[in-house]
Order: sequence, then structure tokens, then C-alpha cells
Amino acid sequence: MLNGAFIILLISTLSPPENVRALKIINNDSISITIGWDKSKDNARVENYEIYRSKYTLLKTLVQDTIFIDQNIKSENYYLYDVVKKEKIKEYNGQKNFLKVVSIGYQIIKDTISKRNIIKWKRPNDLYLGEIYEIWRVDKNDNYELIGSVSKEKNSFRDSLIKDGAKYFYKVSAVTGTEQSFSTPSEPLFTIGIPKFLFAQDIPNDEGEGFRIIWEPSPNYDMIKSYALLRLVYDSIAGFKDTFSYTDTTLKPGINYHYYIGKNYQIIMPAKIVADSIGMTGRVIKLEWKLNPKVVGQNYDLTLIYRAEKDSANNFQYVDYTAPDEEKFLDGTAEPNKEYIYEARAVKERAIPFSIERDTVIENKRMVSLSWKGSKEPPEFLGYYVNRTEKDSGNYGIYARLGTQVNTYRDRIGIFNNVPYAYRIVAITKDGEKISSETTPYVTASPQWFHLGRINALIGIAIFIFFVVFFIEYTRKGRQDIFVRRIAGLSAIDEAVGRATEMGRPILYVPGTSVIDDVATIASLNILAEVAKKTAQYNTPLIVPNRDPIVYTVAREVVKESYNKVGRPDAFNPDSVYFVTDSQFAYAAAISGIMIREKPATNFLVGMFWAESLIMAESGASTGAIQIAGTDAVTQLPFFITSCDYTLIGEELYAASAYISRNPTLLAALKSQDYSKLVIVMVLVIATILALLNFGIPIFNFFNIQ
Amino acid sequence: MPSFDPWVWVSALLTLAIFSFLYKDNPFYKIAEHIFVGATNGYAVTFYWHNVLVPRLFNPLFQGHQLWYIIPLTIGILYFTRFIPKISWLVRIPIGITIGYFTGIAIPAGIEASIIKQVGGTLLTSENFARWNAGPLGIVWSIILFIGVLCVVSYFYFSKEHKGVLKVTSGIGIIFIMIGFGAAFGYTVMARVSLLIGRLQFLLGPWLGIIR
Repeated sequence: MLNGAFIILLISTLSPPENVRALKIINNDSISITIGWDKSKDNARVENYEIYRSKYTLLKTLVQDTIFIDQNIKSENYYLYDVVKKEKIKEYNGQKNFLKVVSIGYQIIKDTISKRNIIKWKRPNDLYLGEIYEIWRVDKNDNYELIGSVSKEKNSFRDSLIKDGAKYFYKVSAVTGTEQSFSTPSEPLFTIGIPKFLFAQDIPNDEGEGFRIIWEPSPNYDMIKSYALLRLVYDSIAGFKDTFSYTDTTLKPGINYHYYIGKNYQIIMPAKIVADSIGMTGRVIKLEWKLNPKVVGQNYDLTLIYRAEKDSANNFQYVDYTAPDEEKFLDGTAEPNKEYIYEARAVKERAIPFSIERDTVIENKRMVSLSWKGSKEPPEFLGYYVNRTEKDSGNYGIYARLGTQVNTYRDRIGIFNNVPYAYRIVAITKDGEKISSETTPYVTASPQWFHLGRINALIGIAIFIFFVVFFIEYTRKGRQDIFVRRIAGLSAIDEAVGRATEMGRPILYVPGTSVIDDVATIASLNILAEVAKKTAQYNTPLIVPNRDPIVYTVAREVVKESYNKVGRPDAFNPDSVYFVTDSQFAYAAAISGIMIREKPATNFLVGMFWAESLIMAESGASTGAIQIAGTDAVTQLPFFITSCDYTLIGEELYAASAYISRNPTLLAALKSQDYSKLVIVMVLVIATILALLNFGIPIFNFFNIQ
Repeated sequence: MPSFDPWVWVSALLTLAIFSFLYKDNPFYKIAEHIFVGATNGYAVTFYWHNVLVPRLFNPLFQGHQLWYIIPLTIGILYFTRFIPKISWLVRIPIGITIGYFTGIAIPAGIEASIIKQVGGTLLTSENFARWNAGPLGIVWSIILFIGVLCVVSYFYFSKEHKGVLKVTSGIGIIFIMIGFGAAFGYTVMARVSLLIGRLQFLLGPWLGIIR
């Protein structure tokens, strides 16, 4: 099928443009190809059209139609078509009724990946045969450039002076004497280029056992089907249980090797067949097993599934693998009418320190002796394994298949600390060609405490903390002249609490629907503390329904503490703060019900919200309550703005607790936020100026976080 | 043809009961609401028991004898001390650990994602121009974004009254914010409508069999 082909088939005219129109593929599928062409301006002169296919096979002659369906095709084949128009010419060189034959030609332009474009064309025949053909290349700025010419016998040209990733357009002109006729421009052509590694590096700030690999994405990803990431493979060459040394005598001359000693563990968990059915894709057996408690939290790498026929119960064969904490598996490879038994085997492998005792050559035979220390092992210990790979020449295996849009990958499977690895990235084109990058330098993983790729974040945090400490000290020294501008939503809190008190109705406080690690939730609990103080002072009932169990516990303590602080512990009602449910919409339904039945005078909807925001805000609005909302969820703020009386937008939410309490320490924190914002603005302006002045400093990279 | 599956009927009637709130609060809504809350709570308790407590705590501790699991168990148990008034203050220990732990995670993550990455994305650099994928117009978009960010940040500057230059910049900032909210509003409404369509498809399809 043409679609699957890498060759770009372009069809255009090579004859005088005012006389002939383009030949087009209208449709192509696995059983037919439909081609069409435009009618000549003076169609009355056309006697017929002849349709040719590859190798000048005349398929059909058409008199008036300008469309042809070729059903005699095989899939996965290339076909080239040509339509020849025969015109009646009354006078030509004194002869009458001469048939002028004009080819509506085609051209093929092929991207060969290996940095050359091949331009092919079909020679126009008879009168329009050129004496030479000129090949013009057009860059993306529409500048024409003659890049070469060939004699009339040739019908192709190779353009090797091309750059990776650049777009090129071509035209071919047939030159006869002083006449020159151009083909229509080709579609833009790309070169794919060889994938280029930027780096493979140990993932910083972790326990090791993993690499981060980044490569330069191809600018022409539409021509690439996928990438494959290849990693240096270590082969297991020997295994022992109670032996702690090994001499490798199977070394090839002139090659260096890498080694590591791995020790393996395996826990066998009998798997139970819970379903055995024939589905659309054949027999499917569903297994379940109970995870051995030793597996949990012990960094087991995988669970391997093994199967044996019931008659030969000891002959277990490997089937597939699952994640280490899975407890079920679907086996779709079972044969019909056979009975099986299964095992799930949790496995892990660890690399241990070893030393090379000797590396000698005796009678031209090289021997490397390795030794390591044994240790007391649990029953699931399988043994020590000596693993080896050839240095440099290398044995590479595919470790990940990746899409065209990604250019980074974290490889964490089966990597051991202090063992050298290397990578290659292979671009696989749509026609199956594989283009491999250079190999990365050897990299080793190790546990690290400090993440060097996040120093910019550390600087940001340090600046912020500096401001916080500075302003807290500032307020402690008695300079409490900290100004904060008026924030309408927060100024309304007093009014809202007062209104509820006057009306003798409760206040409903919804601390968001998120968990405690959400900054908005923490900000909401700070506001709750201040609201609770006011309700305690006025003895106004407060209702705080919660969605998250931890937030509930914290909210309860916060409210209790506030009642204590204003000297009203007796007024605290433990049942006023309660847990509803952790289901998002069930919680929204319950809040709506509370709003309608309890008829609070004021509703606070402060914290993190998702899709339930409008349900709650609209229910509250329908009861006539004053509503004060606050969130940093950009997608929910518009709903609060439309349905609530006051809305705290993003940052105002974080400023709220300081604003309400006027607590000097909290005000100091707010001030430090403001100064941090000033720093951000200054950084933005200065960095932009530096970037625009182009001093060669990679400004953009300073803001990259790895 | 309407469904003969009783669960489809239960599901459809509960959906209608919830929809009835659009008219006003009524017993059907109350029933549905309480079933919803009760069922989700029952589900959550079972879920956490079977998927968290047993496999992640009890099995490794009591069967795998991994004794260090006693530490999280003890911290978790402290949450229940609030039922014993004399030692209810102990509940502050797990709360303190939880908030401290999550704040520690949230602050660096917030500074990285909400500040450093955003500042990097706002700079007027060739990399950011190219990200718009709009050719020379990328420069214009980047400049608009740059001005927008500066003005919006000035709106959230609390240490000065919005007067003079700050009044102008914060005024422009609020325009940018509202444009952003307008876009978010439209986008989210479309998502909500798709939720409604999903429910209507269920009522008209699997339940009543009017659409297939």
C-alpha cells in the first residue's frame, strides 16, 4: 500500500504549465488506486488520454474522462502512473492532423536519510523533450537556486549538499534552446538526521539504580515512527551458591570487559486459577495469588509468572512478568484442552562489591579472577551470578520503545549502582529503517544526597526564607508598621460573621476537597482558625464538614484551638467539625443538602476545589446566604466569581490569615511573599534584558529544573 | 426497550433522585444523598482496609516481621487518642508530622513548578518565541505574555495601595486575569456538559433503550 511507503510520491507536471494540469492521486487503498487530472483548458482539442503504469504499460485509453481507477494492484507495492494527453493540432510545421503528445509527468523525490535527496522525474516526450534538465532548489524563504543540471538521457539527480532537519523544495526544468518549462514545486522534503544524545546521567537525589537519558528530538518527527532505547546488556556467565570466586577463561583477545556480581532472591507464591474462559482472542486464564508479606517494602523488582502442565508439575516454564506488588495476571497464551498449574515468583537482584584478584595472560590465554564476600542469606536466596559485557564493542538490547514526541526517558529497571552502562537511541522510520545514534559515554549510578539539577530551586527557597526570617525579626523588634492593602473578600469576613450572628443562623465552612498537602488546604485552615475565633467570640454556630480524614482531624484541632484562644473552650461543639465522605460528588451532594436544610447565613468555600465547586456555590446562592469563596484552582475561580459575593483569587487566599489576624509574624510572612514577588519581577526583567542583548549566556537554562 | 437489569433501574432512579434537587430539596434527594454518602464511606473503609492497611502494614509487620513498620503504626494510632480526653493532646504529634511532611514536599514543588518554571517560560528568549509555534508572531505572543505576567503579579502585591503606576499595572493585570477566567469558564462548562451528556446517555440508552 502506498500509504505505508517511505518514498514520497509526488506527481506534478513537467510540461508547459498553461497547457497541462497536475496528475493527482485521489484515493489509494489496499485494493485500488484512483488517479485524476485536470481537464485541459481547451479540451476540445484532446483526442484521448492514455494511462500508463510502471514500465510504460498502457493500461487504458480514455476519451473524455479525467479519472481512472486501477483495481489491478497488489498491496504493499509501489506504482508509478503517467497520463499522456494526445491533442489534435491542425497545423504544425506545415503538416496537418499531427498528433501532439504531452506527458503529464510525475516526479519522485526520495529522502534517503543518509543526507541526500534523490529527485526523479519522468521525461516529457516528443516535442517537449528537453535538451538538458536543470534542478532548482528552493529554500523556505522562496529563494531559487540552481543546484545542478543533467543531460536529456538522465531522469534523476542526487542532492547531497543538504543539512539535517532542513526543509527543501525542488523544481525541475526542461530546457530546449531558449525555452524552459518548469515542473510544479515538490512538497517540502526533510532529512531525518541521526538522533543525537544530549546526555545520559545518574538521576540525582535518589537511591541510584537509574539513569535519565535525554536526546535531541528529530525536527522531522512526522517521518519517524518510534524510537528505541538500547542499553548495554550484561550476560550472566556463571552462577554459584556457596562459592565466592570465579576465574573467567572465556575472554576474547584484544577486548576489554565489564563485570558485576549479582545476587538473586526469589519468593515463590502459588497462584490460583480463578477464571478459565475462551474469549475473542483465544483461551484466557485469570490467576490470583497472595503477595508474600516479605515482598512488600523489600524492593522486589518483578513478579515472574511460571506455568507447568498438570501432568509434569515440576517442569515450570516462564510465561510473563508483572509489577512486584500485583496479585493477579491474565494468561492469554494457554493452549486449549490442557490443565495447568501456576506459580508467581517475586524476584530481585542486587549487585555486590567484588574485586579483580588477577588479570593475567598465560600462553596467550587471558584469565580474569574475581572474588567477593559471602554473607548470611535468607531462605529465598538463589545464588551469586557473574555477569559480563564486552566493553566498547558492546552488546545492546532494547530497553524501551518510545513515541516520537518524547526526548527524555528514565531508565530504572535492572540497573545496579556502580556498574557501568551505556546507551544508544535508534530512530525507526515509517518504512522501518533504523538509524542509530552514537553510543553515550559510560555512566554509573550511585545514591546521592544532593540534587545538583535543582540548585535554582534552592536559591529560590533561600531567598524566600531570608525574607521570612528578616521580616519576622523586623516585627519582633517592635517595628510593626507593616502595611497591607485592603482585600475586599477578607474585609467582608467580619460582616459575614456578624450577619450570621444577627440572624441566629450558623456559618458553614467548607475547607476545600483536597488533602492536607495542598497549599490551598493549609491556607484554608489558617483562615478557618480566624473565622472560628470570631464565631467563638459571637457564639455563632459553626459547621465544618470535611472530605479528607486528615484534614478533618486538623480542622477539628484548629477550631478547638481557636475557641481556646479567645477564652471560650466551653462554646466549642465537637460535633460541629465532622467527616462526611471522601467521595467527591457524594460530598458535594451532602454539602448541598446541608446548605438547604441548615440554611447557614454565611458559606465559606475556601480551599482547593474541582468539579464540585459550582454545585456547592449554586446551592448556597439559592439559599440567599452570603458566600465567600477562595481558591487557587484557576478552572474553578470563574464559577466562584459568578456565584459568590466575594472571591479570594489565588494569592489573596494565602494572604488571608495574616490579613485577618494582623498577627505580626503572619504579616511578616505576607510581607516576605511580596518581596519575593518583587524579586521575581526583577529576575524576569533582568533575565529578559540579558537574553535579548545576547551575551551568549544560556539564560533559559537557569530556569530548567531536572 | 427499557432495561430488565434491576441495577440499571437502581442507578437510573438514583440519578433522577439527584436531578430532582434542581426543583427543590425533597425526600427522594435526601434518600439518594444519604445512600451516596453511606455507600461511598462503606466503600472507602473497605478499600483502605483491604488495599492499604492489610497488605501495606499488617502483613509486612505481623507476617513478614518487618518491625520498623511499628513506627508508622504508632503514629497512626495516635490519631485515635482524641477519644481519650486525658491524652487527646497526643493527636498533635501525627498532625504535626503529616503537615510538616506534606508542607516540606509542597514548598519546593511549588517553587519549582509555580515560580521557576513559570519565570523560565515567561522570559523573552528565542526558546520561548519558538514554543508558540507561530513563526514571527511568537515574539508578539511572548511579549503579551510577559506584560501580562508582570501586571498580574503587580495586582497581587499587597504591600502598597493600588495607586499611581500600580493602579495602571494592576488594572491591566485584572483584565488578563479575567480573560484567563473567561477561557477557563468556557472550557470547564464544556467539560461539565459532557458529564451531563454522559448521564443522559445512560438514562436514554441502557435504561430506557431509546438510543443505542
